[in-house]
Amino acid sequence: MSSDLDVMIETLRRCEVLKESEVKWLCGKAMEVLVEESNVQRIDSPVTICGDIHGQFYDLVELFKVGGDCPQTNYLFMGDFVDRGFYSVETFLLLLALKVRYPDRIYLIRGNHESRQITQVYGFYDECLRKYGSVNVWRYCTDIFDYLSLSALVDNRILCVHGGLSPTITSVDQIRTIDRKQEVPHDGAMCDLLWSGAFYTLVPIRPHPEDVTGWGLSPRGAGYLFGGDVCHQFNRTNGVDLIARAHQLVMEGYKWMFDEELVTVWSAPNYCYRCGNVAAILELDEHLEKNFKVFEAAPSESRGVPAKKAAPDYFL
Amino acid sequence: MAGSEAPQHEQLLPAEDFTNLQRVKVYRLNDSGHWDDKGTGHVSCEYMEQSDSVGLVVVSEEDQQPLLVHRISREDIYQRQGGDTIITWTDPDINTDIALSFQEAVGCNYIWEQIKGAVDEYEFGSAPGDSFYQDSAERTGPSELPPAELGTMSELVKIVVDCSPFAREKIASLVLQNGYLRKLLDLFKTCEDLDDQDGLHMMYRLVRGLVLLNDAALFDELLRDDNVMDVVGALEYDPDLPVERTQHRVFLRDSVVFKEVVPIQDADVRAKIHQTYRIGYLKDVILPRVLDDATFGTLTSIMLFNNVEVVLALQNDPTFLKELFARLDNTPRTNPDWDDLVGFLQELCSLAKHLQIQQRGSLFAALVQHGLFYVLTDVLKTDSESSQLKGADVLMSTLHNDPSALRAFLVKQDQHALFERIVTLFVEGEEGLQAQLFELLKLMLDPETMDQPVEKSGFLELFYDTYVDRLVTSVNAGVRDEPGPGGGEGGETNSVVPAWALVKTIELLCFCVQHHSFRIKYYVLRNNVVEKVLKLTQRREKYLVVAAVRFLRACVGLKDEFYNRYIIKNALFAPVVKVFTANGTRYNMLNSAVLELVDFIRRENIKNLIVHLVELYDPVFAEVTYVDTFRLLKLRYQQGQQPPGTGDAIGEGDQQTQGAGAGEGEEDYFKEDDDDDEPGASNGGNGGGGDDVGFTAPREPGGEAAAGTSGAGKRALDEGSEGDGAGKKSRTDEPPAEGLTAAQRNAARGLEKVTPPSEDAGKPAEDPPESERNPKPTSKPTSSWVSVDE
Repeated sequence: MSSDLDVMIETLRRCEVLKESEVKWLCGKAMEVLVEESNVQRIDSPVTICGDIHGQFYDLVELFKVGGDCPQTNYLFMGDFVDRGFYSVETFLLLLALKVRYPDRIYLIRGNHESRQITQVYGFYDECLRKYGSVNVWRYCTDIFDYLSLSALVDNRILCVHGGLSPTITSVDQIRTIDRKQEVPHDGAMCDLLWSGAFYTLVPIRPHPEDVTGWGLSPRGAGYLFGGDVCHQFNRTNGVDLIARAHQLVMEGYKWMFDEELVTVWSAPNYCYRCGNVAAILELDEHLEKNFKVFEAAPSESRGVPAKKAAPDYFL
Repeated sequence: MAGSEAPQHEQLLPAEDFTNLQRVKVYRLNDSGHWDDKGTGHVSCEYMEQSDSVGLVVVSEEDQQPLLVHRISREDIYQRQGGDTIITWTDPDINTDIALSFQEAVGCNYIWEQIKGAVDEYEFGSAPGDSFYQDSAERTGPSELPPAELGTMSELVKIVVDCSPFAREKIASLVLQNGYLRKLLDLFKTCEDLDDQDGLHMMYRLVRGLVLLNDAALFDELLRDDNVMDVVGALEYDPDLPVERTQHRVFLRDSVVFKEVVPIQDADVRAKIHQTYRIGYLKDVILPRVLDDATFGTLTSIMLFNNVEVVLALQNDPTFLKELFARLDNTPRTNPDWDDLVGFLQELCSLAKHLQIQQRGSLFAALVQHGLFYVLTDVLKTDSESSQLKGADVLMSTLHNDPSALRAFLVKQDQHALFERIVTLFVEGEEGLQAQLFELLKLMLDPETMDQPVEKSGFLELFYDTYVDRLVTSVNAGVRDEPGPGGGEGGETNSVVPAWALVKTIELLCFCVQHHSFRIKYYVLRNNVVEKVLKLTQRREKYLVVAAVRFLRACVGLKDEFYNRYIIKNALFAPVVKVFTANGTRYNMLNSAVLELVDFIRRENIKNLIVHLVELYDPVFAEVTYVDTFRLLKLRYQQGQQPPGTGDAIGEGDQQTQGAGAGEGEEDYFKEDDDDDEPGASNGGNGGGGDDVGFTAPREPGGEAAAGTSGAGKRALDEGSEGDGAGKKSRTDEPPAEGLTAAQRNAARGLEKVTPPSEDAGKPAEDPPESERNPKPTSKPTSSWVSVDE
């Protein structure tokens, strides 16, 4: 089995798609692995934390070059593997195949784009249909999304989540009683973990940054915005030093907030192939010393390889 | 390019990103140093004729009135902040701080570039006085273009590529005059004949620039039959591609096959079909990295309009559909042509989604009249999975148009051959097909889309008389999975029902429990379905075990005394407690699912289940100390044991209402039958459900669609949240929050902070059900902002 898997991983590393039957097999295996994971996955350092990838396959390859290959380096990916980029299928399946092959070396948690609803609008659905001619692969993958863990806790000190905090969750233990096998709901704790954001995105900070406190409504229509006081209180209650999250584009690849009690990590360089941002990953060593590695878009991404293939025939 | 789901969400989610890119909130700093929210709108950078300057204009999305008009200053007063989504400045005219907060960082970048561009232009223009520009041609474009010759090509490229947004229209119109474009394309051919690489690279930049002018009239011309190959040809010569150039023309000319399964007489229609394909190719294959959002959007909408035109033309052709169905009838099923005909049908139905409701309705009515469902019966009877998938996809399209037509057919068809086939393939089919049919069955069985009582009784009766048995039979067969003598994975035989199939079957049964009240209740109780499903907890596959637990959760979630008593009488928690115990302290999905189940019973204060659980399993539960769940459950139990009057006031109140609800529920069982399956009675997601007497949902004026009272909104919602089990249900069933309604949220406009309810887990008895404390109404996970209109 592991040799089949190794062949698949090699195929995916070349940015080639798997056969539909292979995807089905892989998703079946992944389900068995992921069902054993916790809503708050415990992870030991050292580990490298990554933010949104969004189907930018060649940039993911660049990320592995910068951060070290899996399994030599341990990884935590904080969701949003799919949508917007041209290679969501290859990107997600590569990460999933690595997960099945090295379950203790790489962890994947769910982002707000790992959802049936969102992927139908932002590209993954269409990509599956274009590459496989049917929605089967999309269905296998979206079924897997329901099994992805919701958060991770590194050495009990750093809480990692895709979006942010929820007003209904004061303690990390409360996350345990969520039955996560569902489409991302429209509200409630699970929704907030995947959708919330830190306050700076909505209200201009200057000239009064100290005003940015408490909870606010999210401009995205789901989840909340939270201020430094909320973050501080949560961290103190749970004995956590830092919240690491992704979800929001930051031009410098990472951004500290709230007296370094929260960090946003963004790992899709030149997001959407035109935002001009750099990307970052956060390396934590065994003492939780932090080192950010910043990287730019892979050059090959914009070269020769046609991004999309056209269907060879059409009726209408 | 089929697939029935995508457009279902167009109302729910923004159709395309770019509509939100320019979405901003306008803030103004008030005297006390706080930012006032002045409203939400769309920002653009416009040329303002009166002041001969460039300005930022925000038009309110509420009333289309300008929220902000700001002449871009020559001084560099603009700053960015806040994670790259905010632009601020101190407006010199009114001496006030203004901030634009963008929904999307991409949009912020775009406007930022425009502001920078304008500031730079001022500098280079360097005109004193009120006129910011020396040469107005730079803004509005030149009055004529250089002659279409190789010698002036670089000049032309510069004009097209560097033009300001305000000059695009002008340049496009000049290109369209006097055969200028044709001359340019001839020039390209010359370059190619001469193998003039520099010239070809220049032609690439030029044509790319022309596309990015994003001008509808120019697109028409570029995509015309006699121009398009040269346009595509020029785009093959991208100087930045180090590798060999991509042979787009060869692909379009030689590799692409237009499958005309039924001859299309009208040449214009054929031309439209070809054009649409080419636009898609241009958009998705040649220029995906190059197109900006606006141009991408223009091309997408041209394709959409073309599709609608084509479908309407075929529909209005008096012979076309007749011919199509004649061929579908007469072509042997094994002939590859038949597969193509089915493929055509699939694409036609898929494109029909973009028609207006009436046109779409009449198209599907015509298809049905021509025997669509008989054809689909044959399609599903084939052995080819790809054909079956196509057939299922067409069925989905018809359901999205009008579910009653299919239901009526399923009821009246001889031997119910199609229904039979759908259920058989759902139970026995391949995984992908099964998943597709799962969606299909859910749509078909959704009582919220059934408005005639006749339809309801006829269709559901048929389902419950004949087909629900098949689901349970499959569950029963699934229990036997003892590996053969060989043991291990190799020991499995083909006769064993695969776990993934059982998971979907259980999920469908969950759906029935949640949406069909008396028929499924009667069926479950009489056939002891819960026990049968829970036997699947003996299977090895943990995700199947969890799915079985979730079925119990769905029944408990109804808070219906009939289910509760049945569960207690048959001790149906026993297998769940057993697997929970066997799982030990492992924190996995099984652990969480059981904790959530127990927590739900405690939160909702379902009295007899609490008593049952504590009295039977207290020794087991007492061992579990890594979470509060069981300690809190026992606390609830103890409160319930206190005689009335001595207990905690609030806890007691809860129990009384619960008790009353239970009593009424009993009587309701028989009264219910008449109006069964109504959205409310079936606990289909509106507020707390029918029998939940204790908790009345507050009215929520702005959030009705989200809460599920309006049929379409609810369907769209469910559609997106497919595949979830009971866990989801508890959430959608939660009464809308008493905190903020959507309308209030809108009024708040995002700036005001919401004070979340204080969490006080230490005092469970004083907590109302947690579902009531959620400070937020149901809202949809869109990437758009909360809509500010009602």
